[in-house]
Amino acid sequence: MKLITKASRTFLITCSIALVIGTFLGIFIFKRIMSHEATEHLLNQRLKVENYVSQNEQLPANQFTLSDSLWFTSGNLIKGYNLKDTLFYNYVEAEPLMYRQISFGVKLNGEAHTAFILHPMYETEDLTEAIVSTLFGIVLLILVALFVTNYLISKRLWQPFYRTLENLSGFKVTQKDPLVFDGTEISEFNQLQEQLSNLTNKVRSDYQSLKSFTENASHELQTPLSVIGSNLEMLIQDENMTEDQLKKISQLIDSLGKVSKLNQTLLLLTKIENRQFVTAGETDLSEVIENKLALLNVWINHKLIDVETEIIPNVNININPYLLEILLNNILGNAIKYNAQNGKLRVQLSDDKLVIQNSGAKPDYSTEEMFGRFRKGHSNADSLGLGLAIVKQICDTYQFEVSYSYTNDFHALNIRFQ
Amino acid sequence: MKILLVEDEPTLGDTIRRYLNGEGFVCEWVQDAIGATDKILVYEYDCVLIDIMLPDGSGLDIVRTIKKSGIVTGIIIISAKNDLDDKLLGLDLGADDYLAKPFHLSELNSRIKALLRRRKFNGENEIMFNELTIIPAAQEVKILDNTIFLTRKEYDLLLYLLTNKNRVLTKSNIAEHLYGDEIDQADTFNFLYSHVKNLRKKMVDAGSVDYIQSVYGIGYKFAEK
Repeated sequence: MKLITKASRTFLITCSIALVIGTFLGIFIFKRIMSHEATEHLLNQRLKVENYVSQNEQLPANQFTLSDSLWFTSGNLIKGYNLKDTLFYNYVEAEPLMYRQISFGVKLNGEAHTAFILHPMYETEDLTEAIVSTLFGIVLLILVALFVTNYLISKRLWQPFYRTLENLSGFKVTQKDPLVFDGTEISEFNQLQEQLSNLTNKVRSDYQSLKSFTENASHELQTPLSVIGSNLEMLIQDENMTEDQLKKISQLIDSLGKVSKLNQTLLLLTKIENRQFVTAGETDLSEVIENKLALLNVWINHKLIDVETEIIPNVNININPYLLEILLNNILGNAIKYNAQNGKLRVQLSDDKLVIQNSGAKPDYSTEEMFGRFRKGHSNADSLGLGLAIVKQICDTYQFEVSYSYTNDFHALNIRFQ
Repeated sequence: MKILLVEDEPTLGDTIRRYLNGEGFVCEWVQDAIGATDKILVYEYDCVLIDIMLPDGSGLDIVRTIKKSGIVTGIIIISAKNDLDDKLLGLDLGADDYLAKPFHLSELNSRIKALLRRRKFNGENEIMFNELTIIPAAQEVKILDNTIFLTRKEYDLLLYLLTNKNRVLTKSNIAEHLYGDEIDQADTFNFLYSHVKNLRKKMVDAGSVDYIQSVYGIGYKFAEK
């Protein structure tokens, strides 16, 4: 949910609730006041009637026939007064309407009379309705106006924030130039931009120093490795070496080769992880696979492997050509290396996936661990165990889905492009 | 043949120089970019070997100087940075070859000789060794005037062994030269064994002496008995 939607929604809900409660409260209070007023008015009228009777010694002239609000009946004298709301037929409106009636006793010349005074209450209803609906209308209008202004202002106020966000989403740690923000007149956003600017600069410089650290580490390692290697190579040229000495040196050379290969591979993994390989454009995967298989043909023939291919031509994917080369070297290399003598190799390429299957013994560790670093079977002491980790890293970089399974004596590596 | 080596690491520089001297080259060695530029502008070299990271600058600047001054020489970059960008940049600037550290000296030797063949003779010279003749331009091998047919890898193997004759080459060294990163190392040895066996057989059948000697199972050496 967008910030502005959230704010508007809250505003609307709160206002609606306030409006409804306010209306009911308004009606209630208004009615109470009117009722109170009516009672007060009737009590005043009673006083007036009593005064009139005691001064003039006769009942007031305006009888029921003239005014519908005052009349007298003879009978028992009632003490005090009675108030009640009752319906009377109104001839003007032609319907029964609500009135408030006061009745009290009046004594005149020893005779007891009961006086009745009416006060119309139906006007209250009408009045309430008129006032409340007018008020409701005004308040509603104000609310709508408030809402619209608020929405427009918020939208404009948050504009720099959205621009900052958009700018930030384009940020890559690998980028050479710092992230530049356009600046705003609102100090909070300025502060935000400043902090983001500092943060991204820090991230970029950290990344750069990490990158140069790995490069330097590689340089520092490769040179001594070169020195050791070339001196060992010189040493085995010595005619006076015994067989035993030569074999030991040869072992040193092999181990050295492994160390240097390991160093290079770890550097490669770091580089892929750091996204240091730029993708220039699309590569024709079909063609590259065919070429690779042709190159590996010597090795395939050597192991008498039967190759079945189902490669759809012109499958283009977005990948750095060098990484593609490494990827194929690893997966095709594995499919040959771990294949049985006289085994089978199946390569299937369609528009959205590449499946490579090969016959071979069951792996001696779980398939979930297959893509971990330094994962290798007990039978492959010479392997670095980094091949599939590299495959995984490359696939992750390009958001390819890679999976491995072992069924019916067949290893299957499945790469799904997106 | 004169070679200039630009390498700041003293031990490595010394080893390479001694090795190349042993191969019959005249090798001069400088340890910094200024010294290298001075020498290049004054003397003529058939080939210059340049390390990229030098204490007083980048080796790539030396390549630029050579190209700018119109000096004709072969250039091989040797670098600890096995970085694709650096490699492409170096080759773009006009270097003829690029070798990442750590490398085998025999590999360096083979690259230098191949480069010199290309530059000096347009690849048309012949490499002769007793009854054996290799014509690199045609990738042809003759024994006593009879052409023998070798596979691509067998030819590469023979050329590498002959280029580094009288030296023991370890199996991993040869395998790396032949297959590069193509094939996992552990698998290449059997493979190499069958290549050597086939090559030997083809040569001996054509009437050649068996020059390929197996050295205690650690490697091979091309030499007269």
